[in-house]
Amino acid sequence: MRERRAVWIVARHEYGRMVHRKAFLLMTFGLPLLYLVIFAFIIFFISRGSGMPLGYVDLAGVIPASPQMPEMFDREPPPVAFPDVESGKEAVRNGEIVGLYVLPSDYLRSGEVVLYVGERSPSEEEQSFFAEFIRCNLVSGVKDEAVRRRLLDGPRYVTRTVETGRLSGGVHVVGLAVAIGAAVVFYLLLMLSSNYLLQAVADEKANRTIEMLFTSISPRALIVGKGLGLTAVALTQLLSWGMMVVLGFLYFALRPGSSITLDPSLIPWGDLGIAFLFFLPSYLLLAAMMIALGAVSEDARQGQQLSAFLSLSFYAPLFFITQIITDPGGALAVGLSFFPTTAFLVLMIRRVMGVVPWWQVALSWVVLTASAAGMLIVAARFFRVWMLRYGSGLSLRKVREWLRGGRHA
Amino acid sequence: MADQPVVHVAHLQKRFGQVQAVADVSFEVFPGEIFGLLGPNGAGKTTTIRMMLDIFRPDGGAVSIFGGPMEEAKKPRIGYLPEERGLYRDPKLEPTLLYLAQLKGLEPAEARRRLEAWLRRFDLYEHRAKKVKELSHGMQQKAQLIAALIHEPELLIIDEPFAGLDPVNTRLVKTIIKEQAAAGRTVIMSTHQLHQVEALCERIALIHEGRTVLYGELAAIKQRFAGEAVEVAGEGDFASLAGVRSAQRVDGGWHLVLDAGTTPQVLLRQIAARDDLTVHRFEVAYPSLDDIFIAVVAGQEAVGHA
Repeated sequence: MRERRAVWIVARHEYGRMVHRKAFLLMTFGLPLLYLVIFAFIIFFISRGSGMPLGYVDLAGVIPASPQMPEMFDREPPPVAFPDVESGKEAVRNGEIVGLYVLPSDYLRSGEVVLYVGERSPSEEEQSFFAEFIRCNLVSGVKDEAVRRRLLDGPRYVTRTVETGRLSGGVHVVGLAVAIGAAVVFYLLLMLSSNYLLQAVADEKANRTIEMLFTSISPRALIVGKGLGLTAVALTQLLSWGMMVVLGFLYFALRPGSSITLDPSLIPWGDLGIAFLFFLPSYLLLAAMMIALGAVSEDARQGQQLSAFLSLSFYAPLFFITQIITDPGGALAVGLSFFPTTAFLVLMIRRVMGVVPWWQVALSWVVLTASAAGMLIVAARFFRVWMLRYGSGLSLRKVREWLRGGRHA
Repeated sequence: MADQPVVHVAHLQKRFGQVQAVADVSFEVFPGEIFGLLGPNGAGKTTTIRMMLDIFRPDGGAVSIFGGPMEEAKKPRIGYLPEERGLYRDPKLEPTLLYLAQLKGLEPAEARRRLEAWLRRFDLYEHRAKKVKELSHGMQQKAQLIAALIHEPELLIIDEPFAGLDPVNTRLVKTIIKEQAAAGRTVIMSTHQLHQVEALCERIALIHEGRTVLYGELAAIKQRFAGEAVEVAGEGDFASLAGVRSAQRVDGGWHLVLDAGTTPQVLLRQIAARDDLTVHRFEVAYPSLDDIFIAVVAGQEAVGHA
């Protein structure tokens, strides 16, 4: 009971200490905000309309005299019809229109449209608008609203696997995005946080609070508390980045003319749930490994050199990515699913590429979580060994000896 | 001392590589006393304390705290001011001390209440919102003392408590140590500043080169090393007394070293019998702890060289 309380106090203190650092605020909110601003800036300039209308010459006779406007593009000015190509070109030269689309007489057969541009070209948004403009006028003669809607929207693929009926196919791309996103976020966190994880007990070692802490709580309470606190820090970063992705997604989804559909059934809840479930123990394992290393390292340089080897074990899925993708049910992919440092990402990739039996997911999670908890205990023992050798250096022989004995750790 | 000892240390030994930091240290500390663990720098005091608190594992000997080995459950009963001082540097003073108090088992509200009183007592209340690194060395030392005291431990172990303190704060710390003992708490004070403990400790252990060279009640130890000299103030020629080996004028009085076989009582009877001598003050000249330490070390070395 007392130990649990101590773990909670240390975790809360560690979390508070980290989240009040300027570097944390910058990384958590500043970095994604910067990416978002840059992304939005680029999108804005790519898709920015000129405010000027587009022109067209319909030699194919597919656009009626009073054309219909696409529903999603209500902010675009209506395109201007020109009787011939020359007058349209003149309008481009004079800057009256941003571009001239010419639908040749054989358009219905060839599908080819010629675009004449002047100093600047229509934006992506404007091009999408004109494509939609042609499409909605082409189908304007169809009386049946449902048919007209299908022609405009096209089919929506929903594919299910034969064995489990689990959604795939249509949501495959989104699932892949989740897997890639999970990998990017995990490796980003690994890079950003391995240094401060390594330094988790360095502060106490450097500022000499270690003796006061050690005579107040057990090494295990201190290390487990720190591991949980730092994992909560990473989770905060993850959630804040996730929120920004969601906000960005909503922003683009709700924009006029957006092709992104806000359909909850398309969200791969299973993949997201697995990603979340596996992220926590994976990060806790990373934290415990780094804390253990930091606890016994005599200086920061030594710790950083050794941490590179530890990090490699998390990067292992990237070395075998081809084999995992081509044979997601093969021995290598399945084996790596049960190896704690690779389980998270290998499982995510395998789920995108095929079907992973639930027992494998469950067993992998149990192995991973047990490894993370076990590594925290090992880290506490390492820390205790360092403490016993306080002021007199540490040899691997001593670490081995104490790990075998494990007394008072 | 009829009580069970709070701390029992028997023949402790600890070696770091080629260095025998502690060779043979033994002592007992009883409830409610102020015990001095004394010795010069490098004598092995801090290593002994670390072994008592299970920070280090001894190579030999035994330690008993509160009647048994050091355990997690006993940690909240102990307050410790380590020799190697340190606090988190970037956080503010108040939350730092609240954190340490909670680790000792105090509830946040109670910790806050007690902390306010201690901060005021140590003149740190106005500085509570400052970052620890912005405080002076002395202020940081007082802050750490608060961390050792705030949970009202049954056993207070303070290693070099006066190092870095000015005379005003040294007096304050002495007062607090006395208050702790008066409240029934046991205090173990380790220091190399022997003169600082003369008015505080009832019993001491003097450690030299990792061994206990003197141990017991301070008064008895002083008594043991006294007896060969007296301090006298008065009128007349005290050097002419029989049994006085040498006489020195010190601060207007006399420091008389007696022959073997001459006791202060014999000398006092002589003075009383003589009309040409008037006494204003007569007392046995107790040696200081510094003198005793030098005498003991010199004696050891003499034996060692024999």
